Amino acid sequence: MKKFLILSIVALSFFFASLYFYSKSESQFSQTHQSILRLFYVSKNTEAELEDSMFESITLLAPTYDELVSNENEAEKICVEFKSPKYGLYLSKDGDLEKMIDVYCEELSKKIASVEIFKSKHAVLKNSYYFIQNAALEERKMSRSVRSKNDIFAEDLISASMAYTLISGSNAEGDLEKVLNEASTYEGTSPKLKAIIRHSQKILESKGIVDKLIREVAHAPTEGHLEEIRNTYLRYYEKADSTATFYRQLLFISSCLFFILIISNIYALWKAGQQLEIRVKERTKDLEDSSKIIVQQQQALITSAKLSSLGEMAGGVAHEINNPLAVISMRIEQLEESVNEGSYTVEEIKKTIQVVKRTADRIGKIVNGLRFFAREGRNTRTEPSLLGNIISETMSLCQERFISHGVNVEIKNTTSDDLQIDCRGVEVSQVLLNLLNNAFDAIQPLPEKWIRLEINDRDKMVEIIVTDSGHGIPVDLQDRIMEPFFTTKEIGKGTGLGLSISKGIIESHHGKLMIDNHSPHTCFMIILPKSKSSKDTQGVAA
Amino acid sequence: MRKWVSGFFIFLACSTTVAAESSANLEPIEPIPQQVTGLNADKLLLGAQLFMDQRLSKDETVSCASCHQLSGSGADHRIRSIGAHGHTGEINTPTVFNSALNFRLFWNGRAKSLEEQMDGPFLGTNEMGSNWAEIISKISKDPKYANPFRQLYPEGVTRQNIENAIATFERGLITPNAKIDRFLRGDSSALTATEKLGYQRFKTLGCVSCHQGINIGGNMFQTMGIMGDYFKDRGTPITNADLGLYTFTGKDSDKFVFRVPSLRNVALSAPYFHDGSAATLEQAVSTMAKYQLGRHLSKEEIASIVAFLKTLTGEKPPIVDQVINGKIK
Repeated sequence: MKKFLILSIVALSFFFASLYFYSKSESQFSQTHQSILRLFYVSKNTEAELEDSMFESITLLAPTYDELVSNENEAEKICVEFKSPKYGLYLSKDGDLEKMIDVYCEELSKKIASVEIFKSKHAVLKNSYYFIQNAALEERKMSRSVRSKNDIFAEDLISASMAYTLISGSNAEGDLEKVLNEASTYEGTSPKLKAIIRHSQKILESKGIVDKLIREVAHAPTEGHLEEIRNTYLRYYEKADSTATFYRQLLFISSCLFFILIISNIYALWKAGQQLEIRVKERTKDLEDSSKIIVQQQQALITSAKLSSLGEMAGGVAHEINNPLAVISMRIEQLEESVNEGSYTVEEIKKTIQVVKRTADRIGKIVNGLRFFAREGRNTRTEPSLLGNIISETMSLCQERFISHGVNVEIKNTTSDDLQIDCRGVEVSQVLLNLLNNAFDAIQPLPEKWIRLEINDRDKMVEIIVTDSGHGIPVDLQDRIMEPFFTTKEIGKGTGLGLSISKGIIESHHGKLMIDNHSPHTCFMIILPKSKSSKDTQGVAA
Repeated sequence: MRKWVSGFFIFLACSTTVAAESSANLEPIEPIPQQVTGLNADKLLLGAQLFMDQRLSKDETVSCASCHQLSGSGADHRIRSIGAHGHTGEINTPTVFNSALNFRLFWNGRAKSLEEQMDGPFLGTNEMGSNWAEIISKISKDPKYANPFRQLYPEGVTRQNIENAIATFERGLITPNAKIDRFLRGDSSALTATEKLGYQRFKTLGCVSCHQGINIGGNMFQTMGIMGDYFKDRGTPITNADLGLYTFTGKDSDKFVFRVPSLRNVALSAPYFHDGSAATLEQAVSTMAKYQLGRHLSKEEIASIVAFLKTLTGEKPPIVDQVINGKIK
């Protein structure tokens, strides 16, 4: 699990690192690259349009310079754009590129300046051409018969000027120059010729300039510079783009890795969850098993404690039975003697029969009590039982023994005879017997020996108090005596389970077993709920 | 052979002229848009208020509108305007109307945008003679500007925002529906025969080589005095202003180079030229023909061209009335 966590963290940092580098490299390009490519395209286009509109002006296809002006403005914007901060960061990354752009912009502004001068010079040329054109039309109207030397010269000049204006070439320029060289001889002859000469001179002068400007504009190295800038930029871009691609691949790999790790983590978690579930089930089963064992063991313990108290009682029981048996035996012997002597009377026989019958009844009662006690009661359900019966059954198991040992037993039952409690009678009897036996054992060494059993009706509850002539339980032992295996009895005499099991039994009957510290003597108190069907019999004396 | 060649070119010239005349879509002048769109009305109103605020000048005596009179031609009728502290400007005030359609601003075209142009009048000692710190401080203190600036510009009163507001207003100062515009839009009855003849001559004589496009000028530079030495013939000493673009670039080839002015509303904006030397249109046309076209024009030719130039007068910018009447929301 820890291994997965570390791997996840590594993969995650790997992922974010690639993402960071990728986004960094990508953002530079995706946002700016398209604009820069567009700028190259626009630049090339604008320059082409500038040249186009210039040639349209030359061929008079464009009647005004407005188009040319707007293209001039567009061209001027290109360099502003190239040097704008939005590309600056990017285009200045390569020092060469920046220099190239500077050179390009310088050439571009030269080109624009040439266009600017072209407009002025071309206007002059056009103007003179209009003049020559008009002069040619007037020449045509003139009568051919009266042509003077001046007229012939004017005609030559006009055609040479027009030829040069319309056809660029060294021949036409040379022809016009040659004609104009003769002009000095004709100057001053007529204002009209003078004007034609001046305009022809202007044509020669401005046509040369215009041609030069056209060549300059057409052959401006700007296009080459732009191409160079573009190639340099693209080389740089490709380099940067391959870096971006590398990061993109890295990002892909790291996301895959991260994804796999997440999946495996989820799988591991799921598996661990399943194992946990199995283990929980196992543990639950174990727990259930052990709690079953505990219940079984507890039951066995109760049984063994019961048997143990039975064992404890064995002597007493023997005594209980022995006494009436002795009575029977004695009576039978007396009757036998009388029969043998022949001195028996019917009264004597009847009396002996009565005594034997009564004593046998008594033994039967004791045996009944034993059988009642020996019955395992745990698995049976609670049922309404007469409290009086439970008390008398219990007492029958121990009374004789107590008395024969000089222990005075006092029973004070203030409840009605039909008081019932919902219980397993054997268990309650066991508890009571345990308390009585404990009391009996405890008071053996004492000079004053008595045990008092009190049964009181307390509203919905019944309290059974066992008091003996002892002087109470030391406070430091009080908490412990209810613990299992705690005993103050001699080794071999007690199991130490008596009180703890008794407490468990009473609590399972929704009752309480406690020590009454208010009494000057040793005093245990059992409180049990009355049966719901039992009548409220408080205050009725037994 | 020579005759044959010259005959060919004469034929070519005739045919190209005919072709140019018959081709309607090759008009060298374009009509102006009838409406200006895409301007923020609130910024425009704020710009209008600033445009008419005299506190923008050092001594608080002149506003933009003092020289660029909105009720007139968008300029004044002085040869050179009077600025703060009674200083006289160096050059004739160009009109503010349709100025957004010019490719450069100032006579020498040194400013590329209306915003860039504003430093000239605001800071020029002979114009408003102020400085930005003072302008911003004055504007900031005025409660009537506090709200609009706060609402329209997150940065509040700054140089850029003042420039932007005024430029927005100036971009709205378009004069639509001149006769020529209506004519170019297909209403051939918009021009009289003389005006049409004038337009024809305007084109064939070559005026249109420079005064062309949507603003009938304002889209190129040209040297003053191509076919003759204008400044020598003028007789007065050459001033700094006469040097044109040269004062900005320092290049010899830029001496006497000016931005070709727009001819829209030209009939309203006398006197003419950067030095205000031409008092009338006739004079201006004649001077231009002589020094720029190398031609001598007859009175009849001049009259027809002047008649044409008068068709270039557009309607007063619709927003001017709205600003004056407080109708702009």
